[in-house]
Amino acid sequence: MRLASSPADIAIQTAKTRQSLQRRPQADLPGTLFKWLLISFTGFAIAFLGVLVVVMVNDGWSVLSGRLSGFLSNGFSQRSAQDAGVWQGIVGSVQIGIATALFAIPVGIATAIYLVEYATGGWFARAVELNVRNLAGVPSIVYGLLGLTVFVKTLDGFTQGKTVIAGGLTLAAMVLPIIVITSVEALKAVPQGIREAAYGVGATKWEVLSRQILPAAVSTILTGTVLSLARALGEAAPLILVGAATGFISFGDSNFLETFTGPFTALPVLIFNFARQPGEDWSANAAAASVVILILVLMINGAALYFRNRFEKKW
Amino acid sequence: MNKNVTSNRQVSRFRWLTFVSLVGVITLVAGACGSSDSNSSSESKSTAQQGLSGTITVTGSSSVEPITNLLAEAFSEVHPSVAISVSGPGSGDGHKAACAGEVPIWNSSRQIKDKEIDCLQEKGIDFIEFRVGIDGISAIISIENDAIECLNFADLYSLVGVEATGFSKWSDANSLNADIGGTGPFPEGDLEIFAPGEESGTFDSFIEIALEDVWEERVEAGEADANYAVRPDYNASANDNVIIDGIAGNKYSLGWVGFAFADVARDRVALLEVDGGDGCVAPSPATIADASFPIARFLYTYVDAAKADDPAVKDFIDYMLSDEGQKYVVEAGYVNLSEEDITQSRASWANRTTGKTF
Repeated sequence: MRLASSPADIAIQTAKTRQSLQRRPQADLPGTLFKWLLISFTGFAIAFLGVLVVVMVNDGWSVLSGRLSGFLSNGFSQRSAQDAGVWQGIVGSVQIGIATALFAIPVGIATAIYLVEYATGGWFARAVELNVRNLAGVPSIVYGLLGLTVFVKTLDGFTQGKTVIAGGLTLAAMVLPIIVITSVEALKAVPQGIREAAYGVGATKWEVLSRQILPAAVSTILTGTVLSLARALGEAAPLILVGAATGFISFGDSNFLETFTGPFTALPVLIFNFARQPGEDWSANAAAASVVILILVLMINGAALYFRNRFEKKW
Repeated sequence: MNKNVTSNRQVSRFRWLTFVSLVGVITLVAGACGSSDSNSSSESKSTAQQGLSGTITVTGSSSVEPITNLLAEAFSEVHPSVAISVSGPGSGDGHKAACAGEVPIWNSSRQIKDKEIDCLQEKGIDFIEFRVGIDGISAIISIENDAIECLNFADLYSLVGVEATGFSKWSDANSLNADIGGTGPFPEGDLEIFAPGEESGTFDSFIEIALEDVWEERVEAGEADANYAVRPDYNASANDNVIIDGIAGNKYSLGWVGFAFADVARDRVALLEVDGGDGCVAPSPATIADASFPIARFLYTYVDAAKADDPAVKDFIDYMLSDEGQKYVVEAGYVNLSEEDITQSRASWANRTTGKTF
């Protein structure tokens, strides 16, 4: 091929190149195949979720359509599946969620800030971060054992034994690594230029952190935090280990705050109970309770989306 | 330009403040919780005098849990101010919780063991023991199958034990049955087994009482799997009615359910007699109550003697041992105690007799 020398040659050459560029997308067979492969895998993922939702709603339909308000407002009943409700489970899950958030969020975010902003690069920070990442993979039942020995037995002066606080602390320990990791990632994602610019105009470390870094990272931190709480709300096994009531529960005269130091149950524990009772009415209850917890988790995820949009900062 | 920068900064500061105030509110709520904790315990003590209030915590056997749930539900309607929580992690866990001084009342689907008594004694905890009901299990076959009337434990093991895995006809079990002292040979006929799933207390009880002795001997002899007592290839259902349907619909089926379920389906299934070493005995409330029917176990409730006179605990146990309370034993699918046993339980409670009494 000779080099283009005249303007006319160049024009011809350019047109040819443009033509070949235009043709290329049509000839991109691997690309098209890959796209459809991805679509089919995505379809799989959605189909799993879809089947799960359809089966749950279908199994629980008699309850959801027939007596939804009673199901939500009634307490536990062994006597008849038709009277059993999930009220105490909803209350318990909300309480445990609050307790978990109270313990896990401040500790998790503070740890992350320390790791990213203060302990930069040292072996200590690296060791802690590695440990935290490993902890995130520990099965929840192990945190249940931890909760039983540490929060229920050793710290029973504070938790008062098998209470909402002990349950909340246990789940907090479980989600803490996730909160730390997401917060660390969020803080690391704030461009280094922001820090340098702020220092450059004479800001102190506290000013850089409180006026620039944290406001910039807060949407991601909150999203990760709220999602980890959603995971905590789905756990039954650690709660049963730290003494959630699997059977009848009534709070007597205690008010909402007093129940934090009393016996507790939670939605997943109720589902566990419903699922082991004989009879189709009980399976319907279990399915309906699963739908309730799914909606609760969706609401929490909605809150996460809200936080992200509310506080998000674009670069 | 300059204006723009400040307004941007104000916005981000505003957002930051919102976040901080959110955290602040949460912390305040926490503070409120913390301070109310200290008041709550003294408050609940002072209100205990007027009307019945207080706390009842019951844990222990998951098999007894349904009885306690029913009792608690009815009790709670009369005494709504009493806080009650019932859980059923297992009999052993119940005794452990009692030894840690965590619960006033705990259930057990077997009698307390010596080492559990030792633990309680070390902690200075006296206990009151009573039986609350009986868990009887019926081995059942189709009512159309009149070839079988009575089986012993070896027969049951050779048909449903782990070594019976793969036996598709009754007659497949004949050589094993002869080896371990069964009453075979069995007739031909397709063997279909319907029984509760592994999560069920009835499944556990049946293994413990009917299969375990034979199975352990076979494990020691190196013949049987040491991990599973029951063949895995059977139709498991958590629903006793499904088991009954399965048995009734297959002429040569075999299975087991709680006695209460089998008893109400006598028009469709035959309740086998069982020989536990003292001859064939048919299951009935009477033979189960006097323990002559071999596949049955007593269900126990224990009370911490030091907490027995707590008003809420006292009323709850009074209610449990009353005639009305005993109805829930049957409603939960179990068999009522013999007159003698319930009288003894009531006497132990009335006199606060501590220690093992049965």
